[in-house]
Amino acid sequence: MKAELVSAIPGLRAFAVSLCGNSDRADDLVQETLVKAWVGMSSFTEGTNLTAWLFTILRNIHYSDYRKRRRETADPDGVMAARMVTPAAQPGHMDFLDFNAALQKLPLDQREALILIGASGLSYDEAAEICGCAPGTMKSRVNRARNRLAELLDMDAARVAESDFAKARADVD
Amino acid sequence: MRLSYEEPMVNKTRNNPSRSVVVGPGHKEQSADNDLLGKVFVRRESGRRQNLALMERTGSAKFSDCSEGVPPRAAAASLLGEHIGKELRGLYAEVVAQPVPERFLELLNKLEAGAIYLEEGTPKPEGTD
Repeated sequence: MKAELVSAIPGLRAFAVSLCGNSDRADDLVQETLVKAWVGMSSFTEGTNLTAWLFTILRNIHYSDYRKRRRETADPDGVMAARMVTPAAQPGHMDFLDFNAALQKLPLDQREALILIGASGLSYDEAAEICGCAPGTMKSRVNRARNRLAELLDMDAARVAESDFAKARADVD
Repeated sequence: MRLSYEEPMVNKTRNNPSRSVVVGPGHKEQSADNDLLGKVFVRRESGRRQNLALMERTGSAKFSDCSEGVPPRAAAASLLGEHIGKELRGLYAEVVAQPVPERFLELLNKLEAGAIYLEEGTPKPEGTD
């Protein structure tokens, strides 16, 4: 079991980092997941997907922390939480909003759907089981996530293009 | 995959056969755009989407001229979708490729040795912070 857990760690870390956008927090999540997995080993069915089982544990820890933090900061809409992840916008500069920051702006359910389907290599069925929803729900979350992300990235690029264009115009005139 | 773009400009382009390569008064402006594209490209690796947005902003007519038959919005949408997929897999793969941090190996050794014991449902083991 120990060897299997070790070989699952890189995937767990990748899932955690893309889920919470912060590598320190991600490694804390992985640590908690490993401890819970070790203790609850008996509930793992041999022969099933260990990675999917570990992802489920990690996801549940993340969700309960997320809810707890929102309660503690009295931030029911998650406005502060969103602000903490994403640095303030400086109009005209692209560097502040990279892909990861845009990803962190997605609602949690959409973000995890996109990561599980778009990067982790798990199937819709496996991802749906991890998130406790129907595969169809999974699909619509992935679609919404992609649309929202496209909007965020495009808006951002458009703002930069506009200011650069104005500058170039000024240079030419 | 669906992206949130409006109706492609296929019909517009098709119904307007008179639109061809712009020459004359537009020429100066076009060279300014080219400089601009260069600048944006240098600034950031993933300049492609900025490039696209720029083309959209500064005259999609030129964009459709240079890539005949491809509706600019649909092209932009598919490139953006591709970009999202690539960035996502890149982010993931980057972490997967990292070596397993020592702290996890130590943790598993301790768990194996029975040095850490906790009841299921306890949120955090003591002394692991």
